[in-house]
Amino acid sequence: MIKVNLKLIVCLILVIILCFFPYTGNIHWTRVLIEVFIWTTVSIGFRLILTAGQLSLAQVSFMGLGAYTIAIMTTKIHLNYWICFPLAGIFTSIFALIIGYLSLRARGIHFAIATFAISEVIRLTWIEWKSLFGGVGGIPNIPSPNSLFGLEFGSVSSFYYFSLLLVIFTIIIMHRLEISKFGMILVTLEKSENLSQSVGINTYKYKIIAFIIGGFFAGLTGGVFATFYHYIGPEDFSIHQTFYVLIYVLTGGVNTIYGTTIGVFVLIIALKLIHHIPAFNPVWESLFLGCTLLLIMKFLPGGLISILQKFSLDTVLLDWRKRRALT
Amino acid sequence: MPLLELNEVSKNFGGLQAINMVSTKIEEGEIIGLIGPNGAGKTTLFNIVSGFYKPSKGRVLFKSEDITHLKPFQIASKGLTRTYQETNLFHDLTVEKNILIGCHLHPNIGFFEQLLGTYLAMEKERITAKKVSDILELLELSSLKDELAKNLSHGYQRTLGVAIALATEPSLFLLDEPFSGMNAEETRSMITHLLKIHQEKNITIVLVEHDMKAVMGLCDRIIVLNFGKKIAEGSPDEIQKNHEVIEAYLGVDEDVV
Amino acid sequence: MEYFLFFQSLVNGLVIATVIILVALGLNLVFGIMNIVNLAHGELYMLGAYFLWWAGVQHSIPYLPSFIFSVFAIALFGVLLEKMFFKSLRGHLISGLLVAIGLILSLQSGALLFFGEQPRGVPAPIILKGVLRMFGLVISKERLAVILITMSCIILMYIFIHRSRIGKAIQAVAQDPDAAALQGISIDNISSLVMGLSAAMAAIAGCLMGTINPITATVGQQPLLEALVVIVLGGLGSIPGTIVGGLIVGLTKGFMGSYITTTVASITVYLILFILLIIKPSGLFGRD
Repeated sequence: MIKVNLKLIVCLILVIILCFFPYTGNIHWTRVLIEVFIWTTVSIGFRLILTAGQLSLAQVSFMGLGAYTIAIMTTKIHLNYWICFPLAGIFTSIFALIIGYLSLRARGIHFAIATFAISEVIRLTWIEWKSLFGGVGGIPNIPSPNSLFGLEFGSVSSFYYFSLLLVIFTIIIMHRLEISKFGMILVTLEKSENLSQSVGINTYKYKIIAFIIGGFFAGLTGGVFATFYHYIGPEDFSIHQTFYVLIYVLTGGVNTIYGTTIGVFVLIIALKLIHHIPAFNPVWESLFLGCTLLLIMKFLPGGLISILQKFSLDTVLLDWRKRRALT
Repeated sequence: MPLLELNEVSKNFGGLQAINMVSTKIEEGEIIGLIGPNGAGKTTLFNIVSGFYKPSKGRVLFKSEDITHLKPFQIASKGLTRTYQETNLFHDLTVEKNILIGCHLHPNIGFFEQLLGTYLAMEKERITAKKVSDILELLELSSLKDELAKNLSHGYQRTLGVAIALATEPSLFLLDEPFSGMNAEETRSMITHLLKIHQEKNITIVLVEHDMKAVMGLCDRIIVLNFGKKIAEGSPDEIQKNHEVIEAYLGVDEDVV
Repeated sequence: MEYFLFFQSLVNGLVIATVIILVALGLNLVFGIMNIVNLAHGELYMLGAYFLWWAGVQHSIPYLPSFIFSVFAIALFGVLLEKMFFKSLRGHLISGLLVAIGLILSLQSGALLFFGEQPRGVPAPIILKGVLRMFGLVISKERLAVILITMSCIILMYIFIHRSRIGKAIQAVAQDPDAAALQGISIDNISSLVMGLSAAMAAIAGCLMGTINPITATVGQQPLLEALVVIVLGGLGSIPGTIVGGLIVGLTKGFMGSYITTTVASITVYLILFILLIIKPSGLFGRD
């Protein structure tokens, strides 16, 4: 009981602090936090299917699908952003349904490579189909969202609260899924899929649903990405970016949502700090992340969270109680 | 109308003929033993009947319905459940949660039903909880309900496997070596549980076993496989006197002969 | 004139095919022994080419010693990677994949930083410059050399695996590691050896292509992708399968090369890979 409430209180405090952050006036770090929120949403979506033991390398491509949907609808058809935004999520979900239905026939590493292949097909299509997607140059001049209920969008603060709301919404939904029977079943799929089948669970259906949900949130996030940066190109959603998401999740700790969140936060901040080193070369980013992944895989496969868990309040309390019992 | 019917079921893997034209009928209420030397194809046959393998030839009929090409989860939903030779559990979950997942089919709580927390969903959850505690009691696992499955002793793990299968409310139980790795006392306990299940829940049982005492004592009828072929079928007495069976089993337990 | 074009396409196709086969065999070998898909295999190819450049052009060491240096260095590097990372992950495909991703990122960035952004080239040694004229046809000596050398490597590898004592040990470990261990075969040593051989094969392929195509940090991606397609087509552990698959992919590329844009060609390759992965129930790696 103590544990649950404590975590909730910590989260609420964090959220309150985050709500006040833009008032510090520091534009640069506000933008950094927006980036953290965006990638957290994508990462948590990616994590859902990962809990079922399936590594999807198409997650960032789904983000791109959502981004391009928004970009095309707002720049070419001039629709109101708030109509396009849910559509971005829906279109991406439909794509995820089709791609998931096909690729989840494959397992484990075959699935991973299949999703990689699809992500490249998508990226290369963006490049090849110039009339619709703008080719290598992508789509520029994406407008900020239209005003909604009198709220104006365009300032950094507006994007900040938009992305913050999205990430909180995502975390709440994902958490509810995780503690539900759906979440429990997903976890069994990695090691005990046969047993799940034996008790009548259509494991294929569950995997597809998890895949679609992940894709849905990726699509929505793409919609935020497009309007925040006002410009998107195929390279924004390449396999390298997917690798980065993978690294964020694994570094933080794949076993929990808050682990993943911490991973995104720590690494993106680290990357920004690296930018400040003189003689900075953009290549350092991938070198840093690649080495981080190797170190994590070798020495800390549970992620950074596993360090925290050693010093968690529970173990401290448990120790204390044990010591009291002995005296 | 037989509960389960196998019509000339055959299975080959590459060049290896694992199951060769096996036919049999199993009536409701029976307890059937499936025996044979190692590698005779018993588990393969189970895998075919429960949908994990597709037969190369032949058909499987359950309650007069052709289930040959159905997926395992579909077959389970029709009332045919199996357990596994190698212990197969939801290792990182508690005993209680293991059985809870087993209750997936009955009562069936829909995805959105649950997410929205409707009244019907909550009622079903109450029924499920009662069902889980009933099963825990029936198989004498109540005291272990919060233990993680992977921490249980071997005997209790096998019992949990049966408990999970029981939660699917089957008409037919395929038990793959339920007594394997158990000592005399655990075996006696499991036999009692199986008889209880058979009587109270009216479940037909087919079991694969090497423990001849248990098989001969428990089963109404016995089917003998060797090299994928059915070589004998009959009452325990008949089987024990059957020459082909004795030959197949060179070195059969003396108590049995 | 058409005959000429056909012949050139055939030669190009064979060059691509033999190189792919060499790369694919390396991947296949590692999977067979260690149950790991070393997706960083393409980076070993890339590093092979770069090391050749570094020795041969940067430090003006003659071609042959540079070539040998590169192959040995990469082979050792492969063994090092095996000991540091892959050894403890034997059999865990997903973890192996994750490590490979880490390696791909690190090695590509490392190469960019160390060798620079500019594409590099290695001039062919003098004996291989120019063309050969036979039967009224023209073939560049370089390309002929690539075909001959890769084919020799493939044949040597085949003989090694099937005729030598160590080769038989390798087969044993691939089929049943426990039984092999009981026979006194050191799984660790065999794994390191196989990894070294595999890396060497990738390096040879990279060096040979280093004189034909420009060398960049991402030059290993394409061969890896093609090797994957070949393995899926030809089946795991089957050397004849890999050869046939390699010939199909290579010759197709050779003949199609000039007719369609590279983007469309890549899309097709990826789609084929995707379809193969989902329709083959045992997928790439039949073992589960």
